[in-house]
Amino acid sequence: MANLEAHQVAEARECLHILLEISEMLHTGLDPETLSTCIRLIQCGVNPEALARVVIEIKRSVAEIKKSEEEDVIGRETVEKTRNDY
Amino acid sequence: MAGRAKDLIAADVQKLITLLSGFSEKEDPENFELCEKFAYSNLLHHRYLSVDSHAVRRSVFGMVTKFMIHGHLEASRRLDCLLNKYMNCTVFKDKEVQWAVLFLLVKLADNPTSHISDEKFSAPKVEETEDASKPFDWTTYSHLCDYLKEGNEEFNTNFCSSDSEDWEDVSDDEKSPKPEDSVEGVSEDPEVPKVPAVEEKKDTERQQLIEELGRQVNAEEWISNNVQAPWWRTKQLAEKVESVFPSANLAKTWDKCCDESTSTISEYKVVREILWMLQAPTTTTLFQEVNGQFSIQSNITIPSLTKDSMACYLNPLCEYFNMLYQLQKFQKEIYPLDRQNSGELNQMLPPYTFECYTSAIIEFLRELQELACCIEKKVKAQEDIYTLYSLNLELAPKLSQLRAVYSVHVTATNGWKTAENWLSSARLLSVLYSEALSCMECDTPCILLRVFLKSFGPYVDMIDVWLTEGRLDDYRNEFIITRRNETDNENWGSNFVMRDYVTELNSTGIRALPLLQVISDRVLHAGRSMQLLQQLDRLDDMRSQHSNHGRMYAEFLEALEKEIAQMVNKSTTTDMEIVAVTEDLEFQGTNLMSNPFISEVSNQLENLKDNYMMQAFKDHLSFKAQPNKRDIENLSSIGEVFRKLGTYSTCGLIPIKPVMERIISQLIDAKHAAACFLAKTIFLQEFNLSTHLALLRAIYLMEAGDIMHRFCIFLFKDAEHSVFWSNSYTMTAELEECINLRYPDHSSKFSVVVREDAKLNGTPSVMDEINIKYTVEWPLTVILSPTNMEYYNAVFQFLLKVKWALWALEALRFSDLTTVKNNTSTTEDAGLRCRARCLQLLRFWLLHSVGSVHTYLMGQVLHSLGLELERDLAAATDLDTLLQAHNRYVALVHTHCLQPKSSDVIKTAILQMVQLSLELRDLWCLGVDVVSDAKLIGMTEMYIKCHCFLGSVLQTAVESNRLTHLNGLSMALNTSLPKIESFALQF
Repeated sequence: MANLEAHQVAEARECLHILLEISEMLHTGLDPETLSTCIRLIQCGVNPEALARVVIEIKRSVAEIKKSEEEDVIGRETVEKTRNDY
Repeated sequence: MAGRAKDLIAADVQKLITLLSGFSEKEDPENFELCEKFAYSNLLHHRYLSVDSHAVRRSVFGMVTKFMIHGHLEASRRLDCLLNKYMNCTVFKDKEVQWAVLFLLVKLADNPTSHISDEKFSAPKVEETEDASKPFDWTTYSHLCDYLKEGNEEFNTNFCSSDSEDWEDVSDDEKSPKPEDSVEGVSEDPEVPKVPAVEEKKDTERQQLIEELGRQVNAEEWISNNVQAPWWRTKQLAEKVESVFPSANLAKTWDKCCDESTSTISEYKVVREILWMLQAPTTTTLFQEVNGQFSIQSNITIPSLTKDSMACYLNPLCEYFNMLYQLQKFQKEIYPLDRQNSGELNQMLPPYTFECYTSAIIEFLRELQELACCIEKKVKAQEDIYTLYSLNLELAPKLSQLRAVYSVHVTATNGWKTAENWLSSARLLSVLYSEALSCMECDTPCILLRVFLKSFGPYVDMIDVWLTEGRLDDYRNEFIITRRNETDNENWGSNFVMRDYVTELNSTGIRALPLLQVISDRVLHAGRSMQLLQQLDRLDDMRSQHSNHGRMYAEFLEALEKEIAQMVNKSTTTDMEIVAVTEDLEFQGTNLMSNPFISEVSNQLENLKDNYMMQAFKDHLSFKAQPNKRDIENLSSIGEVFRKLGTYSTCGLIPIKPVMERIISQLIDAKHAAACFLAKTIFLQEFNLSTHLALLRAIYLMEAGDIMHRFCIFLFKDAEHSVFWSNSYTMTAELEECINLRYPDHSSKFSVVVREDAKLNGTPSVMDEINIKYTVEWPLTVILSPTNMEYYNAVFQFLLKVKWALWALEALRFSDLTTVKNNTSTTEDAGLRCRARCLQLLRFWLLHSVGSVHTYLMGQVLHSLGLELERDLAAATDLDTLLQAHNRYVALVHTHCLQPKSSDVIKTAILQMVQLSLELRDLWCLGVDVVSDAKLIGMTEMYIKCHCFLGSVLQTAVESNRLTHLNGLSMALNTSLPKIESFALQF
């Protein structure tokens, strides 16, 4: 019984590795944890296409926020530098 | 529902948001909440369809191809390998989830080909090594074994099912770790040389070859030991009989009595041998084939029969094997396996009709083989007793059909190899058609009808292409119409000719296919019109009217099926009405059948196999065979048109012939009418055919008297005052000038051709040297053919002669004679007056006779026939009728103008009168005092003879109803017969 469980776990791990490698080759940008979370969601009945949209949109929004923050920092530094120069 | 789903996925959604964005519920609640709302709204309220595994498969394997195209071969191979592994994963219980995960990855893929690097994927070489190290596909082999073992459980006694399952498990276990082991083995050994030494490679190849051979030998040995029935190879067969019942051992007992040694095999094996023979007749343990004739092997029987009884029982079956053998041989001749390699020329190939026929025969044979397969499965199961007798009973209906089909086949294909393709095709179709309609056996008409309809397909297709595309695609020279000369535009009507298949078939005692005879003329006409349209490049107009190209055969079948279905339904309704009565009579019928006389009559009628007769008596007698009931049952189950047709026809009472003829006629008529009407419209509207014909009548037949009068006078003067004709140029210029007065646009089309060296001798025959040429372009030459133009010219020349005579006579003036008279002395006055009066009398006679001929020609012939032509042209529905109307007109004009050889007698007499007229004119001009009495008397006698002769010939011709159109002329001449007495009185 224990052997069977171990076998199943090994098999699941191997499957996850395969998926990870495929994910990497397809350049999805998913790390192992995110991927396994997505798999769980799909197993719960979430539509993969909807999930893909959520992932893409969140990633895009986060990237935009980060970009605007970086621009703010640069702007602030520039203002401070200018002030110091004066 | 949504609430529960939300709870289910809440934790994972939150985790996903955190992983993707880094927002946490506590640190950045505002952004987190926004993300969460967005995620839930998308995940819970989306409108996406569920995953389509086929689409996902296409996408991911498309990705593999994409990698390959982008030159990432290693990545492509690796991805392919990973995908295959993933597909074979058993982790996911629900396959849909498995596909959904893959779909997610595909959707998230972000330009993978730009971010891939082949260096990462050097490992897959291991896979190749793994494949190479696995030289034999055991899985396939085990499947092969399973396949070969199918239905032969007795040979698997060494392996119980549980063992085999264990073995399969073991093999799977053995198989599955193997690649991993090998992967590890190879990957852990980096020292393995990538390019082995040549010697080592050779040794490996040799070893592999030896192993391969060994495996092959073992496999063959295994098959021969386990699968092949041992009785095939055993020379002396002896079936062990368990029963002690004497009848079961009759063969043995008989052998002892006769001191013989006969091989025995079980009845089960004999049954299977027979069933195999039905699949592929060949020499076996039980049967032998010599020159295509099968017979039972000598010295073999079943334990319960003597060998002679066995032979008696099986020999009738050998006949069917012969038939099958011949049919299969024919099939190989039509579809030789090495046709492409043999490089046969197109001329040598069999007609498509034969190919379709063969495919229909193959279909029939397949049905027989399927039946044999079904029986064999039943026999193999051995759940019930199945004897040779049972086999015979079950096969009997199908074998009877086989016999019927084969007998038709022999007649239909007799001498096909040596005969021309068109003749053999026509023969095949004719025989099939007549047999399908005349055969009375229960199921045979249905099969023959199906075979005929399939074989008729190429003909219908050819007609369809011809009448739609305008080209006769008879690649194998099998159609009944053929092209004679493609480039001969002038003789358009004779480009296509009908082959003389009717005579050829009648000479061999076969009635030519009536279906073709019904349509052949219309097909020929329509085909000619299509050819013309193709040459005019107007086929697009035709196609725009008929877009159903290539559908004629399908339409034919559908219409036939529909028509027959209606007829069957009608008869079924009638049957249903009768059913009630029949059911009431059933009880009586049972009683009737007990009556030996009634029973005998029923049997006799059944033996006649005449469906009509059975139908007639079915209310009064009960028959074992009830084809109608079975057919009606079949209708609902069989959807295929051919089968439906076949099923309907088994009723055997439907008049298929008129139905088929009507349907094919309707289809052809539609195409025929369209093609011919378009051609006619083009001729009349675009090429102004009516104008051209009117112009020809105006000039050649001198209907335009005003303009032609001028040209005629020019000609007459030229003929009278010159030694030679004016040249063609002058005459053409004169004619053009005349025509210009009324038809200025068309004057340039006419030209005069004259033989310039022809000497003008003052006789009417000089007019034969004048020819008018009318230049028209193709396709008008189709109607104004050279023959027609010759006729027009002949009539023109004859009219010139008559008009010349008339003109010459009308030009004579009494005053000329008076002048002469005044110059003479009074003593000779009486004689001169007498001569002058004679000349005047002769002039009157000639004027009357030639005038009558002229009136007849110009009025009765040309005018009335011209009106008739106009009426015919207006009524013509197609090009063909147009052509026929004009040809008929020209021929009639030619005949009525006395140009055929049969009217030479009348024509010569008229020309003699013309000659006399010209001579009279000469005498008149010379003067009355110069004319001798002898000359005058001679001329007068000649005229009277001519007139009387002409009158009597015309009267005879009219009275014998030979030339009734000459009635008017005959009356005119016969009511004015000149008498020599009246002439003598003048002297």
